[in-house]
Amino acid sequence: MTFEEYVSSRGPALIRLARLLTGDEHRAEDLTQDVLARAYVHWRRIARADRPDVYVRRMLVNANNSWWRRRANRELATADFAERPQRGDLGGETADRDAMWRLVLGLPDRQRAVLVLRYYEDLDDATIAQILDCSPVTVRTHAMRALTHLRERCGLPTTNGSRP
Amino acid sequence: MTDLDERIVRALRERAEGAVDTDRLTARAVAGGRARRRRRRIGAGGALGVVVLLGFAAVAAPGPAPGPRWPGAEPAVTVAAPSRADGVPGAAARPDLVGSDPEVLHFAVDPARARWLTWQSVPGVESARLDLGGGRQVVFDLGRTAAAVENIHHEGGTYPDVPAGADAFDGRVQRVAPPGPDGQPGWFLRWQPVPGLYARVHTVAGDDSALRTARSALRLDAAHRCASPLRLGALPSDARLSGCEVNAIGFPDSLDVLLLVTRPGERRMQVRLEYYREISGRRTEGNRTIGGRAAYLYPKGDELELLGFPKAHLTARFGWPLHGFTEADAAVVLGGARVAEDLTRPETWD
Repeated sequence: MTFEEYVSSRGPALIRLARLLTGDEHRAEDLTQDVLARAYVHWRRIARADRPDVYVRRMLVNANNSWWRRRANRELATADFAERPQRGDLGGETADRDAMWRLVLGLPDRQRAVLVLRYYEDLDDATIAQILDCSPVTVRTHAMRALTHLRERCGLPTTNGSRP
Repeated sequence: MTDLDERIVRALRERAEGAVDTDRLTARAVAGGRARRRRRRIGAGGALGVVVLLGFAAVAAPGPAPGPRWPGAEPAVTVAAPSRADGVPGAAARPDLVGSDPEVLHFAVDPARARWLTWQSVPGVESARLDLGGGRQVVFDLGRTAAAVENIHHEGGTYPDVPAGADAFDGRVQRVAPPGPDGQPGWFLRWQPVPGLYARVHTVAGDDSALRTARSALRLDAAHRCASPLRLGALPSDARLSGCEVNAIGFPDSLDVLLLVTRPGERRMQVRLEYYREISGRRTEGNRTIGGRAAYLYPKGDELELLGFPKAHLTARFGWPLHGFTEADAAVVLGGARVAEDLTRPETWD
């Protein structure tokens, strides 16, 4: 697979993942472009990996967590998700999604990354562990803490059947 | 799937959606990747480079530096470099001062043999990335302990899995295998210039020739101040300036200054001035006000930006993994920050 083929097929998914990791649409674009530019330099090696997409997503998560991620923020964000126009509100669903998003956004970076990879990317804990470069046990710990926090903030019982 | 699970999924899906211009993304990624590859080839930048900090008494001469001769790389039309700190002893005379003052570097380089690309002073260690010409680049670290030096890793470097002990600072060269089939090995030269001082030069290259060139270019009998167009005129209570990093690799097209503000107990905040001539500066309306100027608190609530600097971002970051500072603290620092009028004219940095 060429680099261009990879970006063509996986680029949109990476942008969407970056939107959830950064919480800022423009920063997400900058972050993804910066990570892909770095991937381009090492593409021959990345393409030979068993799962190049895992490797690139790890780069994306690490770049977002990096203290030096400002490099990927050359362009100023001009519109935040909170500022985006909303579609019609069906019985308060929009308000509920907004409230849940704010809670997710307020989680520590690693906890939010676990939730995004599990609930949005629908990845198993072993793959998430590969992306985050930690053990599956650590993944489950992050998930448990994040879900506990969300349950508390939503007024739900501390255990309600969510996958730990 | 529980109700909570479903609510999380719905929230994430809504926030992730939106059109993506794949052609533009591909074009920009390829262009950015090619630019990175070019920079790596000329030895000026696989690393993000950035750097340093704070030497409020800055300086740097406009125009080519006097006398330098780089075999393969001409200096930029305008160069930035840390200014001489007259009267301040070098590391050879006062090794105990190394890494003790974020505004001072207790070493110098022979301008005929090396050009400053980055410079930094953090607690216990002072560092610089140097261009030796001919595509050769090294990073130099100087510290009061071997552990402090070995704990410093610079972007783009190739480091050993096990840090060297004090007895490895013996003047011998260490080779570290490249991380992948396409990589080059890392090379280290470690020595003790005087008792109580540990020096290390590192490069990633086909051979170790740059190490000894760099060692001969270093001077430990003089000191420099960290030149920077950013000054902090106010700090929150109990806080102090602890570190500075300046990256002038791309100067005058880009410049990064990072100042570290700390409180007891490893509580930290980063203040950063990032200049890049391609920054659009589209945002003019903030959601906060600092001293009558517009400011913007990022959605995660962990970073505050003072707006109004053409082609530059001035931010204070206080969120995870940092801690111990608040938005109010960030407002104090940004409110007292002074930025040079023209970031591309080092002679105007005060």
